[in-house]
Amino acid sequence: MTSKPFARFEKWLDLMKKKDLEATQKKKKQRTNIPPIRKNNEKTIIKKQSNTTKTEKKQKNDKSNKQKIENFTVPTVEEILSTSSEEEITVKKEPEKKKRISSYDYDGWDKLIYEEKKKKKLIAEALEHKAKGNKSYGSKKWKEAITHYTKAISIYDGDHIFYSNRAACYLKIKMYKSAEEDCTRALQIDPKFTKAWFRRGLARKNLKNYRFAIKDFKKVLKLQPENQASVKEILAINKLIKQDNPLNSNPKTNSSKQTKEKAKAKPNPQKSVKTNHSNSKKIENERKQLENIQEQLLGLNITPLKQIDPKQANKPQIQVIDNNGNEDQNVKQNKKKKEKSSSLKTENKIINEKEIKKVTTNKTIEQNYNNKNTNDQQTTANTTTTSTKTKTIPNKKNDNKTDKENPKKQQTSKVAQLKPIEVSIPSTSPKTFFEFEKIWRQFSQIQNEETKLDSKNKYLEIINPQLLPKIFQNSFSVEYFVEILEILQYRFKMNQSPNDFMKSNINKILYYISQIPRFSMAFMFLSRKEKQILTEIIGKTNIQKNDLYLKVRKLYKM
Amino acid sequence: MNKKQKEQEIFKIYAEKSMPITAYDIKWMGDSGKFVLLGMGTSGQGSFTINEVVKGKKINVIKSFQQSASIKCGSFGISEISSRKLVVGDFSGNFGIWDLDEGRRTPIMRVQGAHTSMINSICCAGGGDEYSGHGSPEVCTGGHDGAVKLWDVRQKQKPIFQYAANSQTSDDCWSVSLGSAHDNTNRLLASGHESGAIHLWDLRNTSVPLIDETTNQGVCSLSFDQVSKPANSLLATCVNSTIAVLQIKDSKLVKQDVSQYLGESWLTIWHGEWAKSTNIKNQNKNKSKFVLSDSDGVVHLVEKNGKSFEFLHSQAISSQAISSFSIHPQNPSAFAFTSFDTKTRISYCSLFD
Repeated sequence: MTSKPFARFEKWLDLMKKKDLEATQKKKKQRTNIPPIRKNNEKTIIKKQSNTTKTEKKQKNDKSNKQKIENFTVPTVEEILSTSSEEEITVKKEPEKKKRISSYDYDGWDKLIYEEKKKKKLIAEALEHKAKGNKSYGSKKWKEAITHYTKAISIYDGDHIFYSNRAACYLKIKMYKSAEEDCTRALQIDPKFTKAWFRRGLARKNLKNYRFAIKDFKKVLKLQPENQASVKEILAINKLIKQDNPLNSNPKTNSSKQTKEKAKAKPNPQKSVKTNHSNSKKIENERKQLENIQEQLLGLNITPLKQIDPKQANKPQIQVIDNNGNEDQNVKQNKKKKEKSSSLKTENKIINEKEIKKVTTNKTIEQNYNNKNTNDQQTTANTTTTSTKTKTIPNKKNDNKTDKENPKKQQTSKVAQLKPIEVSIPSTSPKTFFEFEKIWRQFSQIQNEETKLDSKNKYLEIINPQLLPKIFQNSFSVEYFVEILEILQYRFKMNQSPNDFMKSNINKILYYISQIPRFSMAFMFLSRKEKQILTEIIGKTNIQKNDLYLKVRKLYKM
Repeated sequence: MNKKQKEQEIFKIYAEKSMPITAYDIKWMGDSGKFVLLGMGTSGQGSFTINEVVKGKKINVIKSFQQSASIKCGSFGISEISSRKLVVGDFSGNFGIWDLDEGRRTPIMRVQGAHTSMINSICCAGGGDEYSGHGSPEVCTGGHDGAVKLWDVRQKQKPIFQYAANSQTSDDCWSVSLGSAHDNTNRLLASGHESGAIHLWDLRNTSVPLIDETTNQGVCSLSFDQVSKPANSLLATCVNSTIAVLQIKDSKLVKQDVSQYLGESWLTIWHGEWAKSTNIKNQNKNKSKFVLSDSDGVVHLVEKNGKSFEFLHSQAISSQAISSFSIHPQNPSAFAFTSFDTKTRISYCSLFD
């Protein structure tokens, strides 16, 4: 009884096995009658919620659906709009697709091979049209050439040369925008095609897009550093910039006075050069200018010609005087003007440096004193510029005493102040041991020990403790360990109250120091002093027993 | 069980086996006694296995394939029945086409990023023969992000057709189905969503959906009654013990809460398919019959009479939910069930023989 019901089923299973074998051995036929890819309305229909009730919806749907099915024809745009007004369907149109030949091989889905074959045919066709275009370009029939190239592109749009050739034709007709577009398309296909960069530069120049034109010519120089045509173009563009905006052409000047003086100063040395040697010197000047440009361009800073220092502008004058033995009156006047301008400049420089110092010191001070509840005197007194004064301030009280007690010491401290070693605390943390060491050594040159500690402390505060292992890597030695411990002791003394202690990050720093490679070696070589310091910092404080705190205790074997 | 009870059993289980995959989908492979089990493997990766039903009530595992993202659904139908190409959709929104005869360890073609989140269901049509419909080979995917996309196998960069519901309340698309591909151009696409919305598009003109209905209960599965002939009706099985049948020509939706037959009102009916039969005699009998499987592990045979449904037979097959089942295209009496108790069961139903 049990086998009977499955008898037919098992027969069928046997049949299926045979069919299975046949199917695996069978060669798969190519399907020939596959229709093309559906060219349907490629619209994404996004429906908004409608507020009609269910019954109303149903009634609407029934009626409308019936109508749709009965009178089913491809609806026109009007019909669609009228029917969709109820439900607020928003339709996004997407651009139409290009027609593509479609047929389908089942031979292991070797689409790639099939497509490659297709491609070759297409490319051959397109190249014929390109050849025609080249001919008409040679015979200076620009518009004909354009038609030929567009045909080529319509057949096969993956060749950058078609686009760049068409761009060249557009340039001749002065249709610069379309030339630019064609060049960009060519560059999308092959970004190292120098001709396209060059032509785009020309197009942009004519469209008055000077900055980007210069960028394009720069790229040509990158790819072909010997290309002199692009250098000439850059010079031409700079002249155009001058003509358009004589005052505002140099964005890096500090004051308008300088621009005017420069503008006056420039043409004069060339005018003053009158002898036969002048021509060679002109050429020399031009060469120097070109070299400057090339250096600057390759150094990736667009600096137009005008930023010639007054020193360099002075040089040709000196040569004139040497050769002729005569001073032109113009030269004298120009000298004076230049002296003025140079002095102005140096003044500006000094002012700028001072400003920079102010800014840095103020910044660092803000950083350092944000967290701490420290003397207000320090913040108010830091409006002055020199940095040594800030360092001496925490010891103001001591200095006052010493002033009263020992005028000699005062003198020595003054002497120390008179010869200030202006070590400014940098605002960014070091990334390598080399940077760290540099600045550390500067600090260690300071003679007053307390200022040393203080400055080093501030510097430590800038550094993110997590970066300590990376900075030190394999260069961690006992000396640095000792110094850091002294600094931490100093910091610890400063911050006895529990809030400050938390903010002082002592535990963090200790933890990350323990993560530095070769920490254990350095730890072994610590002397009693340092271990006493450690017990001070770690051992006795029962402020907050965090995980960090416990970890640190373990690591330092407390 | 008594003899009588056994005789009353319509779905007679021929073989069962527990598999190491948590199976989400099962599909018979045409022209053979093999089936494919798709799902998530033991360590969270996607895997599907080819298994064969062998005389002597055995199921043998023949091959297994793996991929990194776990698999949700799969479907044959993109090619002729004898050349077995399986389309597999996975949890990360990609789908791939695998050639099972060649036995390559990687898919032949892969569309990545088809959906931004997981692909809930996938359906193929256009293989060129009577089992998979005529016309161009197309894959339809419905995703968790609420989008329904139709892809042609020759163009994988961009879908031919997309439907994206309102993005704020993304209406999870739980099921899709293609049908009525009796011609080179004709095809219908149906999608069922979490809100119960059913959309039906005629792919000759997709600007406006042909039919737009709701059942108000999330639609778990859809099934057309005919793939290679003009379809008459669409079966939709839903959550909370409701089923619905949509008459395409009249656009009538017959919906019913069948909790009385199922026993509970909160059961999800995971999968439903129209029954077919080989004999011409039986075809007329079984015209409006379909098979359901629910989350109690019970399989039902239902007939639609006018505006109501009649439950002819119900049979408990498993203790856990039956996530999916498949009817063999060349033998509509062979059923393969998977359920969440890791067992796959092959059963034979003589009614459709």
